[in-house]
Amino acid sequence: MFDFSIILQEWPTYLQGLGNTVWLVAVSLILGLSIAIPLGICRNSTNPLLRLPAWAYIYFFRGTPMLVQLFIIYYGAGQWDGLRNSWAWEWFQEAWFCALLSFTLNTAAYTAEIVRGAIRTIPKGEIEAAQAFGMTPWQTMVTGLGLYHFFLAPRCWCNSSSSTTGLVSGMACATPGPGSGFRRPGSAPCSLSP
Amino acid sequence: MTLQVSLLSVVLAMVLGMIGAVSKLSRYRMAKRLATLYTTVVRGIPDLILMMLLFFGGQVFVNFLCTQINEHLNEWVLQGNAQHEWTAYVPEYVDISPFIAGVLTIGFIFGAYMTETFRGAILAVDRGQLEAAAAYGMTPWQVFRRVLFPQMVRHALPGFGNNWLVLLKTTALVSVIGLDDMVRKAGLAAGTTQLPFTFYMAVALIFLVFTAFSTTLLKWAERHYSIQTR
Repeated sequence: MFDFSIILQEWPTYLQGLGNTVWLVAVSLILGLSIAIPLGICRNSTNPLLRLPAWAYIYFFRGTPMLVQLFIIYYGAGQWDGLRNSWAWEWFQEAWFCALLSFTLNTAAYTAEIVRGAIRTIPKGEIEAAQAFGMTPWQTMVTGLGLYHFFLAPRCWCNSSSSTTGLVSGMACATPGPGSGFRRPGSAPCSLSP
Repeated sequence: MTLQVSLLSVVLAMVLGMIGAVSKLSRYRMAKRLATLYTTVVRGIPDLILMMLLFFGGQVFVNFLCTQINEHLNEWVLQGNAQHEWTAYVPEYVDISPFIAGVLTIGFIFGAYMTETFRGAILAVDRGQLEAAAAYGMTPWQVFRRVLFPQMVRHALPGFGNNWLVLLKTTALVSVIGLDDMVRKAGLAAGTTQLPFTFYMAVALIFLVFTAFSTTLLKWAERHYSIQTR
């Protein structure tokens, strides 16, 4: 019934898969964070031209399943002739690129909410004090706002990253071809080729 | 289909969560350990893996169990009666439908998350009030219904709302085990029409409507249950 010997024999394959998982999670978290910080700042902006697009982005990526986002990027990209004829098509054909892109965009939305929350906890007085010292808005942001308050945030950030790890495996079944060899029972094999 | 799966599994998750929370806070060490094991294991495994384990692995396991039970029963009867013919006492082959597997797995997974939510909510209720209620001679059930429950709902709602939203989005995964939900339908439609972007985008927008609707409802519920609090 429970015969794990085949897994023990084939452990290098598993290790390789684990390497992919870890790599995807790490890179998408880092890229996501670098998008999330400006996004979180835009979300807090008083200018509606900055605030509303950021709101819409976060709302969309947090309100829809990640599997669907992945499918939109991976399968949906083929629908755009402009994209198919451009240099980017080579990238969009690769499963790993689509996975990385969707994970990055998804985690950016969640992290941006955290960044936004972290910014909101900053006492107004500190920002005013920074301005009173003659700091430019950029200086205020980097020194007053960024440094120690942002380091309060990683605790929440950990929570969001663990859910990303789980969904990396979701890519396995969205990946046709010899790489995973996984087919849904009773469904047509995933076809991407035009 | 998506809504059916999510509503049924949220009910299952609430029941499991309540049982888990009560056993985590109970005096019995065994119950405590079991509940801790449950939440730790489930929260540490990706949803998709658990779902496939239950759907593909569970099928094999259940059929294995059935065969074993049949064998043992037949042998046992044969010992008493030599003329006994082999009969299947439990069905030899059980087919777990993707729907049931989906509901069970999602319910099982979110039961663990609900356990944590409910545990926190129960702890947030003032202990003295429960003791006072017990001192008035209320039975444990009365204490729960009159004192604990109305107050814990208030603390549980925000966490519950988060769980519900995550659960709703997790149901997209049941398409992977072959259930005819929205995502799979869209996949089939995209395959025939060659318009994957259009169909998956439509699914995303429908999910967005669901989540927006849920958020509104949850906000209302939170306001409703926090009436008369300072």
